[in-house]
Amino acid sequence: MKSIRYILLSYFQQHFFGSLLTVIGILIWLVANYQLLANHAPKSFLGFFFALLCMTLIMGQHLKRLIKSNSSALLPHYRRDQLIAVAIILPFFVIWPAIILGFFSYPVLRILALYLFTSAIILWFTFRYGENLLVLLVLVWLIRFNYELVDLPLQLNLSAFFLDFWPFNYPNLMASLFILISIYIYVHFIKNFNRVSILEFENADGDESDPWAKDYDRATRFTKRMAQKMLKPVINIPPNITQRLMHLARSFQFALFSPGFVVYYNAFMLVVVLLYMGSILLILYSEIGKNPRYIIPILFLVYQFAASFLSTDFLQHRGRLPFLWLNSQVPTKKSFSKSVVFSYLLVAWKQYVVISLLYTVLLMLLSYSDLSGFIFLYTFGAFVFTVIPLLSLLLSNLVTSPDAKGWMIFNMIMAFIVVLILFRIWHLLSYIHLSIALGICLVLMWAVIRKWEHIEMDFSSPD
Amino acid sequence: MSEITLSLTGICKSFGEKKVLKSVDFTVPEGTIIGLMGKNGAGKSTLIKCLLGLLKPDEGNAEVLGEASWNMSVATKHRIGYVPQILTGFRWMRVETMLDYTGSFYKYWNNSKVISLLKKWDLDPWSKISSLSVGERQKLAIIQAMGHEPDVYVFDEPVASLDPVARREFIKQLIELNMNENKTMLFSTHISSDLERVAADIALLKDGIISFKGDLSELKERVKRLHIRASKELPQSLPFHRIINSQINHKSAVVTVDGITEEELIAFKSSYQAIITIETLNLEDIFLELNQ
Repeated sequence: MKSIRYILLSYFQQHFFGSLLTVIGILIWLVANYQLLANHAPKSFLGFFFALLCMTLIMGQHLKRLIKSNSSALLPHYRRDQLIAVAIILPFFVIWPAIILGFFSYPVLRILALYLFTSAIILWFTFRYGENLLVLLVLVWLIRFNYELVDLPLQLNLSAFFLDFWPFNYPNLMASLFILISIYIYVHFIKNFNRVSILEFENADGDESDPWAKDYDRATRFTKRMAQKMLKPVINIPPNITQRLMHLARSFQFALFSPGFVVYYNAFMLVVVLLYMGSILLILYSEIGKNPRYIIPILFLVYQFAASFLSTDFLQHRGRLPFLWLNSQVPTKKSFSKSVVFSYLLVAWKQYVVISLLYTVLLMLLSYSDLSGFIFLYTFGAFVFTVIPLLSLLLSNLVTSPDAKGWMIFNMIMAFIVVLILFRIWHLLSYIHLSIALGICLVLMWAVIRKWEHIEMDFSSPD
Repeated sequence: MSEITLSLTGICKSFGEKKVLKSVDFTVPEGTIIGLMGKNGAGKSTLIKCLLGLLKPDEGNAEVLGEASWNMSVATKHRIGYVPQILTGFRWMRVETMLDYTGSFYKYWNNSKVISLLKKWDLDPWSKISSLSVGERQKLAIIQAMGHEPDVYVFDEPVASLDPVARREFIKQLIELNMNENKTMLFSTHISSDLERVAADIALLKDGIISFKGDLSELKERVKRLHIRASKELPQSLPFHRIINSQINHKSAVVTVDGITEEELIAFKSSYQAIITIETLNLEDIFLELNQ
């Protein structure tokens, strides 16, 4: 049917290339590591599993966009066609891992059940609450992973847990049950979410003129609420400091999104990203001689890097921040709102966490002992993505009249100082320290964000 | 007696703490054009979405062509044309493919009509949706809604981004469809001149309820502005029923009332030895007065 063809075309148009690369990458890895899989190496399975979930996330993101088109719900047979399209796409992601794992002697049905169930839950959360919950879960997982590396008593062999969690005498029966439950969840949310979840959030503020703000509001609300609850007992900033912070934040906001500045800011972020990606590439390149399998994460990096820029309008200088490719709706001056700094930080962070997850998975697949270099890079990246905007925010009163070029220079200098310092202290700090630093950065970030919401500001005349 | 095509009964809808609709009762009979007016954020889009089953109301019933909106059948969907406030869809598509895609969902699709509308509104079928202006997207959304020649049209701010020429053309289309084919239409707008041109019935949405619904001329007949000059000091509370707004300054006053009788006027004139000039308001003035 024509409508299904269009729906599928839309999917391939937007995400097929990325998904295909991911699949090819994992297939290559599988071929290179089949012995490890056959021996049930727990870490390798866990990494593989997470890679699959990443793909699910990509697919979920796409489907969400696809079905979000609210007026389409009134098209006759729209949902039926949608379901058919999903049914065509889904096996591509779901069935083949099960077959491959089955080929490597894992119990196929259980793997299929496990994957379907977990991905259904994740998709459901993604659609219902935005992907931030998933990001939080990933964060928890990363923290746990860090602890695992230093042998703290938080170790939990997740893969063993997953594979052995069938406390039943009839595992295949239970697996079948789980598959049925998963299918139910899939069908249920596909049937309903476009009418309830998305629209409820979309209309929550009654502001229908700013789709960018709506999207972010919807995506960030859940995380914000959680953060507020979590941070409430910890953060208690006196009102005068809060006011001061808000003043600074406002100056920063004007500066960041003033006409012309975004282009410079793009340039700055490009430098930061180049440095960051370049450093990872260098490390991996140096390792290639020892282990040819490192070529795979390099391919991934190249893809991520290309995707970051190709999917934005960076080259056209249309006022979009460069590497926020997870969400193409990036703020422009027109869509300027008081939550913009919050959104920027959140998206930058989210972007980073998702990319980090991919790298973590890949590096975990490839390296089983020394990950300190990666941990450093992970923390460094988090620092760049969260602390530099925050510092810029705090120091914005240095510029009495925000000026685009001034800000560009300021940010460039800041970035280089940070990069230099971090490269110098690489061997002095352990990843534990860096993790703590990261935690502090996050707390600071949330503190600003939390207070930001309570201040009424007039943004009508940025100058 | 004409049948009820669209109906809302006791509809309540909140978003978090914010109550957008508070027990709305609203009907659109077959073959009528009704303009839904209200300020930005008054809940016009929410009302329309509840009406069409795109949003689930917290309370109340919404029906389209006698069928519950939330579980609308495919047959009913074939009979509805909806233009959303913001056209969402596949930005990568061209105008032509978008219309082809939309048309593929319907049993009947009047392609010649679509082509003539494209020409009339100067829309290039080969343009990509991502490159269209807001106004052009709105035109496309309207054409999409008209292609299958539905019985009921629901437009959410259809003319907000259209230029005057396109707006007049759109209004002309509405009138023709209504006059020649007896189509039912509901459209939300805050451009009162368009409503006056269509001579539609209007419904005013204010504070989450329909504060007025009826014929435009009836509304104009009801709502009047009184310019009062009295010989005596006027009280702060004037003895009129249903005062919408009032400005009292010692012996003079400007009062907008929703309905006043000849008896009330005579009684007031004799009590305060007043001269009263009655001003008939246009729809925009009425809208402003009601929303002050």
